[in-house]
Amino acid sequence: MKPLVVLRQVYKSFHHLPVLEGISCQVEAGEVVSLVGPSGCGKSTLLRLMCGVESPDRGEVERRFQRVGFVFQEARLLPWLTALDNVGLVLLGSMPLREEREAHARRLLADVGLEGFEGYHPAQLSGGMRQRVAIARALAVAPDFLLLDEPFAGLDFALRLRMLDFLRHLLADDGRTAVYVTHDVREALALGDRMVLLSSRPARIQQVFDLRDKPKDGWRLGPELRQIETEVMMALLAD
Amino acid sequence: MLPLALVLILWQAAAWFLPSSLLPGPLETLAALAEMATQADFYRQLATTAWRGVASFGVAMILGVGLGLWMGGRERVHRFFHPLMLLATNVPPIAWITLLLIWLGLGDGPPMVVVVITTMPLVAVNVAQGVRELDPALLEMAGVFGLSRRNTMRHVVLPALAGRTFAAALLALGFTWRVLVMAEFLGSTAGLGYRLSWARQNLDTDQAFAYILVLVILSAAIEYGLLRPLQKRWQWEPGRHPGEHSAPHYHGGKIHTHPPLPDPLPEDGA
Repeated sequence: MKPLVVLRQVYKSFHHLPVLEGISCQVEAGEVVSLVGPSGCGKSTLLRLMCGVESPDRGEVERRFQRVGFVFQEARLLPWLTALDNVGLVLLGSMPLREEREAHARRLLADVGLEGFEGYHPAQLSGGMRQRVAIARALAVAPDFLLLDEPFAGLDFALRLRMLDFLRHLLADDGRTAVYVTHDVREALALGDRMVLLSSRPARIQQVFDLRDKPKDGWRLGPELRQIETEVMMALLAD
Repeated sequence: MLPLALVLILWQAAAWFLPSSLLPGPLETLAALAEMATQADFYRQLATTAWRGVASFGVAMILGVGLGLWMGGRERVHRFFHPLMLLATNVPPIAWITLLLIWLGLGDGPPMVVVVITTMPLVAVNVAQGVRELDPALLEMAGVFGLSRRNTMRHVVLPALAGRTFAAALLALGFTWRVLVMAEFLGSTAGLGYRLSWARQNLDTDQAFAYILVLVILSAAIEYGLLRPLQKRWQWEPGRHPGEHSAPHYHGGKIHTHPPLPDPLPEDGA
């Protein structure tokens, strides 16, 4: 498999505060990488470096993807646009015809279960529905690389479970390349093909777990993954 | 409408007790206006003031929005221009008019320039503040999805600034008429302000009141005929989406929207 993103000895700091220290990793095409680490350790910064909105202070980030889709922690929808227009917004550059954009956005909203809500504004939608619009927007650009930054962190537990299940199917069905940031180890194990454990700030890669051949059935983790879960939780506690 | 009706009643009541040379009543004012309306010169003066007002307000808006965007986007530009804007707004308009009459003489120049000088800073400072308060998360989103500068400006920045810009525009429009008429009154050979100064010299109170009434109507026509419809069309407010669904509201133990939300919510079923 060809890596879509390669990071080599990446360092990043903000206002002299080191955030990332010597990060080297890569994301292969077709795999889902879960990034786990304590809150505020620099996971989001790492995603921003991967997609190119941030540059490293030192080191190198090689990007080989064509189009990136990003689902942020907050939906980041434009409150003055409808759900349909929020999805269509990211197509302005690639689809000049309004009808074409709207038809595409309509299909994607239907895919995320929001048929009938196209004309609603973000303020009229619940938190979960807003995040679905954000997912539809990220998928609209037909991304070959999808970045998800704790997209369901603000949702209540039951809704979050439903949204995670939806995401798990989405990632599994389409064989997408994705990086999923979370601080929930179980989520990371259930969704990822590999899991990268980061230390507290400044973030360094503590350990990388290959999860591909470990048995799991949806959210039901096999004994090996449960063992990893315990290991990671102990590592996070010790950090 | 009720406050206007109250003003009319009070005006009429006061006119009963005072001589008409001092305070003509609403009917006498309307009669004077009707007589003025038969003369071609009245329309020339009205057109002069309307043109000066709309043109100078338009220039002030264009310059104000442009400068505001520049100031809001660059800290050094903001630091340079902000004190100048404060200076321009704090110098009394009459001081500007005096200087401009000396520098530019009579004509369109002084009234129009003084309007631009006094109203443009209001717009610039408000727009700059709006730019500084823009949500960086939305701008980052636009950057991540590769929105062009033009589309970012059109769909992200300008709608976010609409509230502040329209508020500043309404304030600036009010200033425009006040300052313009003052400038015409003090140093111009045309316009409603100039005619008002004539009425004062001739102690023609009926005409003075009629001109004031025309100015009020002109100002209201521009505000309600042009600016408010534009505001309704372009300004986004939380919970108000023109021509779209209403924001949800809680009433009688249920959440209501118009039109109603499809039932059941997808969230519940998915």
